[in-house]
Amino acid sequence: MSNSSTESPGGAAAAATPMAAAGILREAGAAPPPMPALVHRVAVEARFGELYVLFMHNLLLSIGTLSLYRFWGRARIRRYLWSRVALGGDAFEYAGTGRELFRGFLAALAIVGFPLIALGLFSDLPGEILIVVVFIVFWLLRHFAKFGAHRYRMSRTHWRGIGGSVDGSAVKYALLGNALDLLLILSLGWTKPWGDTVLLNYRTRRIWVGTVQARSTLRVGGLYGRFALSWLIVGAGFGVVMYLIAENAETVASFDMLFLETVLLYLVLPVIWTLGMGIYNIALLRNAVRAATLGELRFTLDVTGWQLARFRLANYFILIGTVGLGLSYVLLRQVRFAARHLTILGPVESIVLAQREGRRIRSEGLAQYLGLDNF
Amino acid sequence: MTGFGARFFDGSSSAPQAATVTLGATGLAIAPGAQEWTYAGLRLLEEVYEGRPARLRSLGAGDARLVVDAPVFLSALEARAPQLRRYDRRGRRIGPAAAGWTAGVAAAIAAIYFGLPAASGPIAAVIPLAWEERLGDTARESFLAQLGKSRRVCEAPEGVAALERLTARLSATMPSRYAWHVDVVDSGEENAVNLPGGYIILLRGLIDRAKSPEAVAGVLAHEMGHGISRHGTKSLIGNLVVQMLLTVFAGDSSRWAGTAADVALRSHSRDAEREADRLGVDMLNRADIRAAPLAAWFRRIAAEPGQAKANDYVSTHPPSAARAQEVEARGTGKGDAMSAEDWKALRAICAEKK
Repeated sequence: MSNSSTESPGGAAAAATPMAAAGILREAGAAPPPMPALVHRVAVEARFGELYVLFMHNLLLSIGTLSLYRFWGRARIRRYLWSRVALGGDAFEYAGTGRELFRGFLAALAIVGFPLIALGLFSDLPGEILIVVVFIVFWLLRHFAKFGAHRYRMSRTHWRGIGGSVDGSAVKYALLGNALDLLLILSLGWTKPWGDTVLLNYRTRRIWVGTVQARSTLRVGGLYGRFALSWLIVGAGFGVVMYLIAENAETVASFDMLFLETVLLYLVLPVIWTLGMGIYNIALLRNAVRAATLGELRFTLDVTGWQLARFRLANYFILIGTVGLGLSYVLLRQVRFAARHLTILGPVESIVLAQREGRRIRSEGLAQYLGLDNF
Repeated sequence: MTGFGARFFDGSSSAPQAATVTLGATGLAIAPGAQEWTYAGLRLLEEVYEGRPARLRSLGAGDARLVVDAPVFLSALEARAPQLRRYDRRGRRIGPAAAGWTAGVAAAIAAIYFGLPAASGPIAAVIPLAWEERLGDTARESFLAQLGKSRRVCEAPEGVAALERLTARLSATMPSRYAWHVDVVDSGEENAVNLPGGYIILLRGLIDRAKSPEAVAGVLAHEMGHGISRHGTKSLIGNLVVQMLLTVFAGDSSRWAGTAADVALRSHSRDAEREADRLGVDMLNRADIRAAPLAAWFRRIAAEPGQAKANDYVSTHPPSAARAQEVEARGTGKGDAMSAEDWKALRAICAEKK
């Protein structure tokens, strides 16, 4: 393990450029390429039944243990999922444990939770103010927690024995994220494309797989036109919905306002939001994937905005329809969807990664406490 | 002992190495490299399902990994490294497991859904009156704070006396642990609330717009019905339990579980409204007060949706024609709620002193 830093990452056979690989894609009917495959997809071998059993097991034990089991249950689900996603014939590995997740939760409870509880018990602040304080604290810690979770997960993800890691400071990322949030509010959302670009570049550029550092050259150019369209559609849609609620509160007699509001807020608004923002989101996503490189590997995402919006809405309605119990199915759908549309260009088979020393971190930090993790 | 074909990753490079593994006396022998991984230090990377390879690491070998495809390998290894058996899920059938866990989760959810209202009653019953009154006092303060500048409690003495007479008359019809604290607050909203500990707040708008004292008596009786059934206290307990459950679900299905819990509480609160209606009409009947004006009030509020926004009592529990009909059908009282002088005094309860 001592020679790991001197090995050069990437195979020697990697003369191909993304253009060449794309060319192979286009000429799929022509003679087979004489070189090793340069176009790869992630293979998903997870099965719904198995995942479902893990989820239900987790849920029941969590209820029985007043939620304490959930950390171990979550680690188990991650282990399962990681082991059923393969690249170049080898499955990934999740090396994290429930104990680590639990320890992160306890630390966050001590640092954030107890002070807030103490504030509630021993200060004379009225309840309304306290709620605002808690909300602001959680809001400010959001980016910090997200970065911590991202770093922890990367560090616990192995492929062919080689682990990922993330550099950079969660504090810096949080300061950046909160400053951008402030600008977002002040500009009524118009700094979003630029802010998204900055944050995505910050995150991606600090990712390492072994000793190979990811690069990201995401630019904001080309995003603003789509964002303007999204902004107008969502703005108009929200305006109409709010108008309908206000209007009907005045005129509809003996109508169940609750029903109307439920339909508008849980059915109509999500559709408007997903379709409207989808115009921008898909461009951001595709550009971000295309702008990222890892050594000689390049990536493309062949999905249209309509496909993505339809997919997300279906997930939303599956979750609502099953009161959350369908989460295992939705999760599997998400993994399969990503695998179906993501193409990896480059010499995956022959790539040789070296382990990066000193990449270990201890725990996930605040994410478990703030409930930011979806599984 | 014959060897098993394996893929070996040394942990410092991702390059796969073809290897042969044999089960030795004290551990796995990996060739080439002549490494030995002791049986006690072996761990599986994840649970192994039917048709999946065994992927191993060793406690002393850092990030090195060993992948063996042959199914008999793991079975043979488990005899020497029994700690691996826990992770061996081969041969377990998914169907029965899925059915079993689903039944378990369904039973847990049903126990919570049906147990919540059933359990909150007994819990509410053992809460000492003093606690409940303190709870109600706090709730009253925060309710008044919500009303903002119109928080003044009306205190015109004749009006207060009239209200006390009505309260005493209704309270005498039904035993309860509470000394009722009924206040009128100077707010134009047409609303009334019951809080834990026997606290009831009527807003001035309700009295202003009431066509008769019997309508006010009806609403007051309805709120006292809530108090006697301890709905406020029970729903506080229910909310606490729901909060706890949300923590259980947090991060997994919290948002969806929250929606479900909300629906459950709403449906329970509709039952609570019916119970309060029933008790309220019983009180009116025993005090011999006409119930028809309460029914008329329900109908008017239902037809006046402009009120709905300002009136949370109405917006969460829309008065329906069905409720009005039930009140009308069950009401047997024939008398008045109070004298004409008392009604005049009550209507002037918020007037400032001259």
